[in-house]
Amino acid sequence: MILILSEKSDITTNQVLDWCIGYQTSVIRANAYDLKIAHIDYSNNYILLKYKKEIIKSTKIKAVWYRRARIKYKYPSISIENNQLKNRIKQHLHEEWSEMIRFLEQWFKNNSVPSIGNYLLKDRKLTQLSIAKQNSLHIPNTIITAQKSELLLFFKNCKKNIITKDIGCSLSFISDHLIIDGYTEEVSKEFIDNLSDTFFPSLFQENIVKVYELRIFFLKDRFYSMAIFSQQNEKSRIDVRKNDDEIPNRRVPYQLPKEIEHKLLLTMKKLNLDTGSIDMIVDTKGDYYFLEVNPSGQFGMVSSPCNYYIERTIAQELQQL
Amino acid sequence: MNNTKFYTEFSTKDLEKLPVNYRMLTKITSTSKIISSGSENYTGIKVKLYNTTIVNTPRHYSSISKIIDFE
Amino acid sequence: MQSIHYIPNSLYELIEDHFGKTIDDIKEAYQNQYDDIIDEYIEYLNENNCVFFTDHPECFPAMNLQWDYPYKVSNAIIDWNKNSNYNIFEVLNQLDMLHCKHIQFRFYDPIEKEFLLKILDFLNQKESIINSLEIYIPNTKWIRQEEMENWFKEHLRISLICIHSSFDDEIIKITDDKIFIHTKQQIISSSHCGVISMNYFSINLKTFTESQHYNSCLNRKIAIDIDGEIKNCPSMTQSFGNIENNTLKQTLNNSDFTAVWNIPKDKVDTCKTCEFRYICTDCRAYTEDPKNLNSKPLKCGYNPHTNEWKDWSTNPLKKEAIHYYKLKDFKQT
Repeated sequence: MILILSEKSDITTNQVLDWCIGYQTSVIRANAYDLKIAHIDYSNNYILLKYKKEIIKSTKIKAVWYRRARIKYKYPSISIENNQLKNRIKQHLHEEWSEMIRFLEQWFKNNSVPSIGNYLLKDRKLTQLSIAKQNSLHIPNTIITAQKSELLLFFKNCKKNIITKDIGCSLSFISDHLIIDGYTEEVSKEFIDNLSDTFFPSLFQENIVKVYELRIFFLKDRFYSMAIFSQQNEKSRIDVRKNDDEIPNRRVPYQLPKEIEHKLLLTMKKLNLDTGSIDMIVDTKGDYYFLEVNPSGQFGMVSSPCNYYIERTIAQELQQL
Repeated sequence: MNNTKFYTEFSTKDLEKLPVNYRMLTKITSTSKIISSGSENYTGIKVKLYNTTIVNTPRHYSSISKIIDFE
Repeated sequence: MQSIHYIPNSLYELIEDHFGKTIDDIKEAYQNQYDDIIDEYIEYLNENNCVFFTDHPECFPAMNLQWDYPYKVSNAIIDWNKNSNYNIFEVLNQLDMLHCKHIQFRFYDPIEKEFLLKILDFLNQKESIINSLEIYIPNTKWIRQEEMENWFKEHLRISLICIHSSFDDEIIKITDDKIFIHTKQQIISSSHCGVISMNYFSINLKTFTESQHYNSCLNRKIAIDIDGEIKNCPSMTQSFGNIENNTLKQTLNNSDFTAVWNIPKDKVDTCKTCEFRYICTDCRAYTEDPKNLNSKPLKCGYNPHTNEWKDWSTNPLKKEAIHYYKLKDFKQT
């Protein structure tokens, strides 16, 4: 059977499941709290997993899709007075649990259980930019600085056209009546002048004047690309996620030049990624700029408009692994 | 859903120690309660086959039958 | 918002023959005799966001117009009237096992509220994959506007409620995907079905690609009529057995049943030359020539050669077919 590690809210997983079930593939979808380790047998080299109320032997698992994998445990609340000890215990239980999950992931690797994706990959855009550059991909001029003076210098060097974005993920906050989200934003001279002399280290990049941007889903060695003409709409010009529902951006199938695909392939291999969603920009000179890759990014918004049926491809891939 | 401006509750002193983009965080407020699919107990349809709850149930992309004459 | 843009045949020819060329090349291809018209055409396309320009046409391949679906059946019609007594829950059970997500119930006579609630509860208990229900019911004593609107919130599987034989004609959009309809029309049988109109145009990629290869109405559809007979649609005469002693699964494996799925618009008379053929619906149950499975839908009053919509029910050429199907005289209100 195929094990899919995902999260409750992921709709893409449902779509891939449709294809798996349509192909009559035996498949389990486990969300964060659905899996537990019941038994590890060293002599006979197997692990017993508890999936909800069922016991599954690890040897039954033929392939794994780490879609948005997080195997969590609901730690018990301890009824002791000492709060410090209580917190330390919770932390320790988490460490114990994490060790087992780390072992589970390694066990699949060491026993050649084929997979798509990775469990909790750590490298984000900083490393990705560096590796991309090493593999001869253009990246936007980038700095991280905590000094206003350095920022001003960078601003001038980039012909006064720069943006700022999060170093990792955005501060995504949702409460009952408030949503806060960080997007890529333009940085003006006035804005810089109003800054304090120092600040928390922040990421700045030259603002590439784009003809269009690319959203590319890749799986093993295949690239499914889409061009988004976001620069025509003021709302989406800097960050395509702020698009206008009334006048949606044009999204069309795209074919990357072979050398770009080759460089991307080398970059992804170096980053230990066999799947992910890549963001790129094509500038007015026709140069391709790598921005980042999200290992568990959404690809439905590439699959649907381009009629790629990526969800079907993943199901077929899992079946053949 | 309304007023998507920037969040401005940080004090000047706060902002001096925060990342620069905190001055430009998009804010959305809502008078009605926001239901997010990320929260633990959001309402939706439980589907056994998917082992999850779905919120959106789109109609079939074309009309299933054409029995009402809308002219 | 999806929309249609009309273009003259000459512009169609231009696009087909000269796709991917520069404007100058196109003008040259017509010996520069039509430069002004070509400029006008390009401006029209540009204004309506139908085209874009690029120095690298090789990077923009044509879209693959494939259509595919994971399950054997995607939608079902369940008809029911006061004489129906087949096991509706068995039908739902089988549809759930076949992973059919969209179901349309057509109740021709008043039914008890409890019956509907029983159906909704049945699907809830099952945690069924059936997640989109359309319910057509006649106006009955127990139906209250507010309560029915509430049903959309309480029973999330419901995506459409239509009260027919109602006091008014009204369409209320509950959300983007949920609609509440009132219609004065008295829908008493499946013979009302098969209406071809711009109101039923479906402008999206799924419909467009599906209609390239398959029948725009019957593809991946199965139906149970008021007597429990399994059919492609309740209006068709051919039965594939009764639900009492046949299963939906058996029927779907019967190539005679699925044969009609393979009649796309390009094989239907008149429709094959109509500009709306990839966004329109179809009807194989009521056709202009009942002996010819590929003839034009009976209830279509559009003439693609004159671009005119006329009332199909008063068209003398359709009189014989109307009589054949025993359809009452319908008027376009």
